[in-house]
Amino acid sequence: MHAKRLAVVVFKTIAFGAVLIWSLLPIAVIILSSFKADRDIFAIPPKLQFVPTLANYEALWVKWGSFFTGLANSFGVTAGATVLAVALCTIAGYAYSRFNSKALTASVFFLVVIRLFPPIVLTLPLFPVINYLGLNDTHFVLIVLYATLYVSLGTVMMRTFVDQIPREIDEAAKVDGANTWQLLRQVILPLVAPGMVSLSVFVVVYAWNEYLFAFIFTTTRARTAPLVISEMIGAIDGVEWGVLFSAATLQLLPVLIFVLLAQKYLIAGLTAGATKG
Amino acid sequence: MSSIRRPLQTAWLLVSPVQALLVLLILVPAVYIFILSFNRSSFGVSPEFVGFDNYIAVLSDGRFWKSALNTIIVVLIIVHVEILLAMGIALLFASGTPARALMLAAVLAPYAVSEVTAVVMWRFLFEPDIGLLSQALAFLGLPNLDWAVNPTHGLLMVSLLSIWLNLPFTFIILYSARLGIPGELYEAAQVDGASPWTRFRQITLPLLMPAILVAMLFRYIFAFRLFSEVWLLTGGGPARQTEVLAIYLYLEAFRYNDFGKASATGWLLVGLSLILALFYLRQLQKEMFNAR
Amino acid sequence: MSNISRRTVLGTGSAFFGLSLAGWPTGAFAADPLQVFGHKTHETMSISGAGGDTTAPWTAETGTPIAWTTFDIGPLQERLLRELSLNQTTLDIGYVLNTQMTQQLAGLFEPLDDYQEKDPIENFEDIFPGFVEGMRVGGKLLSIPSRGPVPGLHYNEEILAKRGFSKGPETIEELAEIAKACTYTEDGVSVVGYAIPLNYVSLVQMARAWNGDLITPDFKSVVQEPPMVKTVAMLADLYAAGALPRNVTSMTSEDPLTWMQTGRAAMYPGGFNRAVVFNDPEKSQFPGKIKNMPMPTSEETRAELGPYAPGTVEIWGMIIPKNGLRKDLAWSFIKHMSSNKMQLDMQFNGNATVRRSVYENEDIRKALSYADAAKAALDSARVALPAFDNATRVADLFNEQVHLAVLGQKTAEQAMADADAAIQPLLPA
Repeated sequence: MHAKRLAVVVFKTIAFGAVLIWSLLPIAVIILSSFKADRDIFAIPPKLQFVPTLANYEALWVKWGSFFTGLANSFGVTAGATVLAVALCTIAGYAYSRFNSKALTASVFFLVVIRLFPPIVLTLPLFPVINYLGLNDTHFVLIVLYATLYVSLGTVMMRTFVDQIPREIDEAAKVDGANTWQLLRQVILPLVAPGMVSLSVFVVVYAWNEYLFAFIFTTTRARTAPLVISEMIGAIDGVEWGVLFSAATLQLLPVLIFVLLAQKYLIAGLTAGATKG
Repeated sequence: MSSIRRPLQTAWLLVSPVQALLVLLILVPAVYIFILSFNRSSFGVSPEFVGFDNYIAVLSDGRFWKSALNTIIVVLIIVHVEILLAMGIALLFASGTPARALMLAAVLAPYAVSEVTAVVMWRFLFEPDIGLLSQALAFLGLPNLDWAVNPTHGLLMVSLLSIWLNLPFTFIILYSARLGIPGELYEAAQVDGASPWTRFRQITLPLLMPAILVAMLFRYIFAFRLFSEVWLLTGGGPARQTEVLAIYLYLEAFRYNDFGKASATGWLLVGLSLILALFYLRQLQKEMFNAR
Repeated sequence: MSNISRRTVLGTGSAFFGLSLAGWPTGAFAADPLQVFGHKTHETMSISGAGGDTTAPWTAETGTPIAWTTFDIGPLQERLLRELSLNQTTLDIGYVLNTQMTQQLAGLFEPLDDYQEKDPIENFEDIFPGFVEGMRVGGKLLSIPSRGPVPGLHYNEEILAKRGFSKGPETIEELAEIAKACTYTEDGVSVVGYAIPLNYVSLVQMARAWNGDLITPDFKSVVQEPPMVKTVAMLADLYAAGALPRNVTSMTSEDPLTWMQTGRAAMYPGGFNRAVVFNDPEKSQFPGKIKNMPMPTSEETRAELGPYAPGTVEIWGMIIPKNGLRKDLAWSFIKHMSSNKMQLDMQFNGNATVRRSVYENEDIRKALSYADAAKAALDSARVALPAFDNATRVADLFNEQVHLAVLGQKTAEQAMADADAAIQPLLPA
């Protein structure tokens, strides 16, 4: 019995160790390398001891000012897309949870099936239309596009969350004379808040890191951070790995911190969502 | 007011913003693309109707089939390895985790990484001769991952990268579903003397099924349009041998500016992913609508 | 979640939408900056370096600042064409490559002959005539050349000396010999002889040692002829000997630069202007040790062609969109940037000039070690690939076969025969 328990402990330790290395090693290497001088980055064997330098960050600040504008744009677009997607998905998810008809079922299926269409092809017809509307290179167009691409998953998710709320609560509120809007705002919304946080994690990560649409629909004013990084990879004077790593680190950290902070809600929310009532 | 309005009308009103976005920004352009797929079109010239020429051109192009095959192989690897790993880690976590919040944070971390950055990381780790992992493999006397030269290794590396990036997504769905299973079920099973394997088969797996299906369906859809990982890593090379469908499409549309052929490829891509996802869509439909 | 915080969240959200709406473009104002699409290099060479900001005098004169938007090469071309296909664009200037000067695209660019007639660029004949010719379609001048990088051969003096070579190769055969000799591992550092990006530009550059080509200026495929087959065979042989980087087929055109800077490669064929980053102590471990020379000819062709192979040039030029709104303003910018003085200043910033007089300038010759070699290569230069509608597709089909041959999956003859078969139907009639 004792030996068996020891074996379990050893196995679990190894398993957790492997999970940690798998998840964190690449990230750690990038972050550490961003504090190394260019010549130390490719040193053989790898240098674990080195004099940390902020030179890469300085160089990034001096040469790639556009990266910092990019971060600001990413921030704005991400915030907008998240608010929009979460709001729309919540009300749609409520409707799909509480009402039932053949046509509604079909329309939820449409939500999923339409997403099979590869977004990359959509850029062909969308570009001239968006230009015609004068929306090119605005935060607005990215916000709407990102929200659109996440409403399918979002609505399905929110529907599951609303499913958890007993219908009796709705009935009680209606008896008290609440209309649908009041019911949504005052009863449903507080109860699905953890679910909304979970959904927002998905949207935030997507919008923060998205590359394709940002590339097609922005030029200067709404240019996001991933675009600037990809431009750095293609820099004609040779990749400055150190500067690239410093940009990657700065781009990574905010959303990493957000995901880690929201983690508690994410798990709690999804757990509630996964339990069939 | 609302009591007078018929309930279904309210429902449609509430889902209309979501549906409107999808119709305006995906369905309408998709229809336009459908029309475009029967035309020859490029920069500097006006479209010209050519019937099924674009479809014939794509379907008789060996590169299209090669990339379709690559895509299917990679998607199957990615989705299934991910599900297995995610399930394993989820159960490991559910069995008791030291420093749970920190461990969860660690597992979730790759999800926050953008594709561009992830490619930079893994390329750097597996850079021939000098990458950290290349050196580690050499130190252990193992053959190096020859991703740049050997197409099989290239696709393997792409799968690895994609699994690393998306595992947290699958994990989080399965882990929360697992947490949602009431502990009493397991206690009762234990009292009945069920072995861990029986408990897994009789309780965990069936109750996780809806979550597994949702995760797999979305991973299928997203994995099928795999682009950045391949594009930034191998570029589809050497000699277009690691090309996937999204790259084929990208090249036609954005490199050769052949919009007609690109549109045709787009619709063929929809068809193919529909076939692949059909099974899961049907299961999902059963889960979602017949069960209630 | 309390009511208050919920309201705050929603309020912030709608305020944000208000801001985005306010950010809508509201049409062109007089003081709107000049919108330029280019590569980062175009921006850098125009505004920063020892030559200073060459756009500043123009901005001072016209009161119009410059708004640069920079892209990688492929995306730049695609994005520019997209912009030019609209009914109208707020874009004023775009940078194009000579390969984009095709019949099909010609209608998207404003013809510039009339502008040159009315308000001429000073000393226009000083711009290499071959460059100007490369920017004409059907006799119409569509772009003004601004940058003409010509590749040479860079080599690490220290590595070569270590393996017993006191100078760069005199023939292409010797290049192969040196490449093999300089492939070794010492103190855990592996060095390869020849870091070549396997794209059509560097292949054509090597084939020029036998005076070869990929597609001739009159659109005949000569890919199956001996010069190109020999080039591919030589590279396949070098790869088999380990003298090319193991991942050579996936190298971007920029990757070899890091290899040279870190001493992992002995030789590299590429733009002369790279000498600057190779010898920068901040970026390179071998400052002052990386020399350059024009690509040598072959033993077989030396008598006929002389010691150096005909140069291979790619020309960047500026265009005005046909659908643009401020064409006169755009022309005045082009005119300013093409002047003697600005081309000279830009050369100090790292440009590869289009004016002969710049390479002959005494200060330039003193400051840039490669000025004479670059000029010599330019004197005999012709473009790497002529412009035609399917040029990109042809270049890619060619690269594909080169990769197969270099990796040893096909013989050079077979690969080039297959390339020819694939290319033939795509050439202009």
